Order: sequence, then structure tokens, then C-alpha cells
Amino acid sequence: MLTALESVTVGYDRRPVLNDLSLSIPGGIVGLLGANGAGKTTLLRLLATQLRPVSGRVTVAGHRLVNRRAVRAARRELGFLPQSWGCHRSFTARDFVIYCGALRGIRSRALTGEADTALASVDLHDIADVQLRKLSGGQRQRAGIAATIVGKPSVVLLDEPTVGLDPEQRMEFRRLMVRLCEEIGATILLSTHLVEDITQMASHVAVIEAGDVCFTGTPHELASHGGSASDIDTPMERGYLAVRGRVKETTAS
Amino acid sequence: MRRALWIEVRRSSLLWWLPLILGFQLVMLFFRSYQWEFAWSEASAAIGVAAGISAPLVAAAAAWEGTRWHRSGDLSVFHHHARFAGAGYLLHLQSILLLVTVPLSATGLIAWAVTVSASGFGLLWPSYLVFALAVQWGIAGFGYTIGRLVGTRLVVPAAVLIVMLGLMLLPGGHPFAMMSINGASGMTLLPQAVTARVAIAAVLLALGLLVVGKHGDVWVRRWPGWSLVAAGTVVMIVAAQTMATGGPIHRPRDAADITPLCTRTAVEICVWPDQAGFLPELTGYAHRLETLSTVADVPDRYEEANLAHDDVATFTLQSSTGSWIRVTGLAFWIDADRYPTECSPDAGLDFATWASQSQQLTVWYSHWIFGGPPPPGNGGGPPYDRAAMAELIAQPERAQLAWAGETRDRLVAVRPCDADGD
Repeated sequence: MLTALESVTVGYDRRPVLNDLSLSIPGGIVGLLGANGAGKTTLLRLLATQLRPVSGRVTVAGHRLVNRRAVRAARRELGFLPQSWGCHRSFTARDFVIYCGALRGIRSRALTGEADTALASVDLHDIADVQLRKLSGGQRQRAGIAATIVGKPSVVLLDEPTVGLDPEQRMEFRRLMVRLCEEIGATILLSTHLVEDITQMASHVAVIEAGDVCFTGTPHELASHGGSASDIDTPMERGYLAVRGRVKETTAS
Repeated sequence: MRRALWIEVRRSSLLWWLPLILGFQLVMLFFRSYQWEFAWSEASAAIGVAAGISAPLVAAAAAWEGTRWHRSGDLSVFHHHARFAGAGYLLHLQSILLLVTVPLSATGLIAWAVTVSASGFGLLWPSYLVFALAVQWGIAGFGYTIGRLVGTRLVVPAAVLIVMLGLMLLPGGHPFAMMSINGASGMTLLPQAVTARVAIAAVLLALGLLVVGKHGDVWVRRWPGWSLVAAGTVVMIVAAQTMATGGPIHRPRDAADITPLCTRTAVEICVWPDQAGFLPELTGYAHRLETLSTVADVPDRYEEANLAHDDVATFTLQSSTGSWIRVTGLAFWIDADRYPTECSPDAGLDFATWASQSQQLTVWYSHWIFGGPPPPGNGGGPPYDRAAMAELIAQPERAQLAWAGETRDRLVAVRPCDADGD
């Protein structure tokens, strides 16, 4: 189902963060790259229906967000995990997943099964009844992902999901994303600073710079922008810098 | 959403408060100085008193729960995928109300069981229960609202202080009272007093939900609209006006369709059906009155106040007044119509002495009906010769009756004129 932004402008305190941005999100795992302040979180929050655009059109899972009815319908198809998320401290992982599923409107009869499926998908089934405050950072993040994917939404939005994870946890996370994409068939859009996260799991990449999209394509296409080889930088990193640099040059001129 | 509600209930901090609230309510119920279990109306009012006095604890618990939204970090994950805006708050408030109702229900159930054992099968009065529930829910709504608004831990003691202040400034029976201390069977709660409190509770609960805070949904108007605010304000004003102008929250109960419950004795003492628990005590008094009828003019029938029909001796029957007040009320009517209406200037003794002897006789009637001296702390009222009374009631009953008959005959024979010549 179509998820896209068409000529969208959105900002805070009358300062535009996304300026006339257009982006179509294909299926699979889509990585969103960009520097701090580029507008990644704003873009995700816009798709997550947490923000309203000043102008332009937003479509999520085939629902054009024009009124509350469409927003409610979109939210049923949507899972969103912010970069920093809180939870009632006494909830267990299972409680959290069931709670989010219930709020989303999953029927009680199906809820336990869906929650178990989501927890199994993130390998938390064995510790599902441990309170969230007692879980490690990686486990807690997985619980958040489970709450995001319960009920198998068609669009999953993750904002900097690997922040705070150690290298092993990040590797586990990438495997998890690939597995989830195959299992639930959702479009997963995740933002990250870390180019290698995109390299290892994304089928598509979008690079944001100064509130606009400066590149969309496959990781391979991004890497091809990188020019000659380097001992330190990876091709993807050089490609990333290259596409951002072009925007900076254009902006400066 | 039932699963989510059950999670809220299971994980609520109110579960820790419940034993405290329930314990407090039971202490208030059972450690009162008088017994409510002999009248269903009084049992119902006693539940309300227990609930009302526990209101500061309820406010504290609800306020602490309200602060949870400030203590848990960014909870937007709970809101922006909910089917409707505020679903998370609604679930949370529902869980609070459910848990607050648990101790009240337990207290009510225990009071019902105790009253059944004392008075036989019966039912608690719904108006008192609705009154108590409205107050509990309203207080919970108030606590939740300020917890959501303020967010710091200080809101908990603040909630306690505010509600305690309310309890002190608005005592039972006050038009704005949070409980009804008086549960007399001859009185009922004003319907508008109950309705006003239900309305105020509804507004306070709505306020708790409408506090948007920082988790507002941008696709819902941030403020629900001045129309809702105006409606809530109007409801509060009307409710407050109703309470203020309604006066005391009780009114006399209509006895027209009531069949009184009477002792099965020659001298009948009749009460409201709700007061069946008092019948054993009153039957004892009735038997004592029957023995008095040999020496005095004892009414054939007594009825509890508000139940009384014309030309029937009345008395007040309430747990709070105690047994001694009941018997003095019964004693008051003995020989009531026998004293001369015209005074005699040649009575042979002065009016003060005659009045004193009359008072002494009436007090002795009370002792006789009660079967002994008054309990400690009772026995007040107009002065009488206590030493003489103590000496009299120590004598055999036959001697007491003889004294009573002789004294009574002398007093009803002639009444001296007082200083005004009446």
C-alpha cells in the first residue's frame, strides 16, 4: 500500500523543518539517513500522524491523511517507535505489547496470540513477563519493537532504533529487521546515523539534508556516488557524504 | 480494550493503597460509638461516613496515579496509535475508579452482612450508596486531575490537605457535605442532593480526561472547545446552587404507605420497618411499660417520630442518641394527659416543689423502663435528686411501684400555680 509524502512542508514555531519535500516509500526495509537536524525525526513523526503538514499531502498505508477518520484508519495500519519512548514502569513486556495492541484496536480474542507472535518475533518470549525496567537496553528496545509490530501493521516506523545498542545488539537488530520484513511483510522505515545499518539490511535508502530529500535509491546506487576508493571510509559513507555535499554546494550557491 | 483495562488494574499503584483505604473504612465503620446495624438507613449512612472520611486517602492515591503520566517519559507511543484520542487516559481513569470502588463495595458488603445478622434480611438504602459512590468518584476525579496537571510528588500531600479541609469545613449534614452522618429512618436524602453530587463527580471526571497536557493529538482539537467548558461550568454552577439552596440534605420521609413494625406486646412500640433490629430492645421496654400501667397512665401505642399519626405518642429512635434518650422519650408521655390543666392556689405546696417532684417521678419512669440507672455519660437533662433516686431504685420493685403510684396520685390530684398564676 502506498506510503508517500507529496510536497510536504512542516515545521516548529513557524520554522520549516521539511520544505516542499516529496518522498515515496517503497516496500521492504527503507533506511533514512541524514545528519542531526536534517529532519529525519520530523519526517517519521509526520508519517506517524504525530504532526500535521502546513502544506502538501501525506499518505500512509494507502490512507490520505485529510481528516480524523483517515488518520484513525492509517493508525490501525501503523506501528511507530520513537527514539526515546517511555512506558509505565510496572508494565511487563507482555503487558506493554498487549496494551499497545488493545489501544490499536486488535480484538481481545486475537490479542494474546498476536502479542505472543510479536514477542516471539523479537526473541522476548522467555522474558515477556519481566518488568520493562528490569530489562537491558537491547531487550527493552526489542519490547518496543514488539509493541510496534503487534497486529502486523503494514507500515513500521522506527526512529534511531539502534541508539544505545552495543555492536552485538546492533547486529542482532539488523537480523531481526530482515526477519520481520520477511515474516510480516511490512514496509519498515527506519532512521539512523549509522551508514552500516543501512548497508546491511535496507533495500532502499533515502538521504535527507536541510529538510529535503537529496537521494533515493538502493544502497548500491548510493555507494556508486562515492567516487574513488578510500582506506578509511566505506563506499556507502563516501556516497552519503557526496550526495549531501552536492546539496550543500547547491545551497551555498 | 478489556485486556488493556485489566493490565491497568493489575499494574496500578492503587493496589497498594487498597488495604489501607479498606482498613480505614472498616475502622470508621466499627469503631463508632453507637451501633448502626439495627436500622438499614443507619447502616447505609455509616457506609457513607466510612467512605467520606477515607476521601483524603482516595484523593492521594488518585493524584499519585495521575502523576504517572509525568513520570514515565514520552508516552506518545500510547496515544498516537489509539483508536481515539484520550483512550489511554480513559483506560487509566477507569482502572482508578474500579479500584476505588473495591473498598467501598467491600465495606458495603460487610455492613450489609452485619446488619442482616442483627436485623434480619433487608436492603441498604440506594440513595446513601449512590451518594457515597459519587463522592468517592468525584474525589478520585479531583485527585487524578491535579496529578495530571501538576505532575510532582507534592501533589499527593496537597490533595490530602485540600480534601481534609473540605471534610472539616463541610461537616455531615451541611448542604455541601461529603457524607451524611444522620441516617434516621424517618428521613431520606434529598434526591437533588444526591443528583448534584453525581453531576459534580461527572464534571470532575470529565476534567481529568480533558486535561490534555503534552500528549495532545494534533488531529484532535487541542482544547475540546469552549462549548464543553461552558457546559461543564453550567453543570457545576447548577449543582452548587442546588446544594446551597436545598438546605440540609435530608427531608422527612413520607409515612403514608408504610406499615409500621410493632412490638408484640400490650403496649405497642412501633418503628419503621427498616428499624427491625431495635425490636428486641424495644420489646423489653414495652414489657416494663406494661408493669407501669398498674400505677400510671401509659399510652397504648408509641410510634417513632415522622411515622406518627395523630394523637399517638412519639419518640426518637436513632443509634446516635443512645438507649437512654429513647426511654426518656417513652417516659415523657406517661400521664401526659392526666396533669390538671387548671392550677390551684391552695395546692398545699409551692410550684417549684411540685415541679421537682414531677421531674423526679418522670426520671424514675425512665429508670424503670430502662431497668436501671442510665449508662455513663447519660442522665443529663433537667436536674433531679440523684441521691434520692439512687436510694429509690435500690429498693425492691414492689416498693418502687408503690412509691410511684402514691407520688403520681398526689401530683395529678392538684397542680399549684406558678409565679404568674398559671
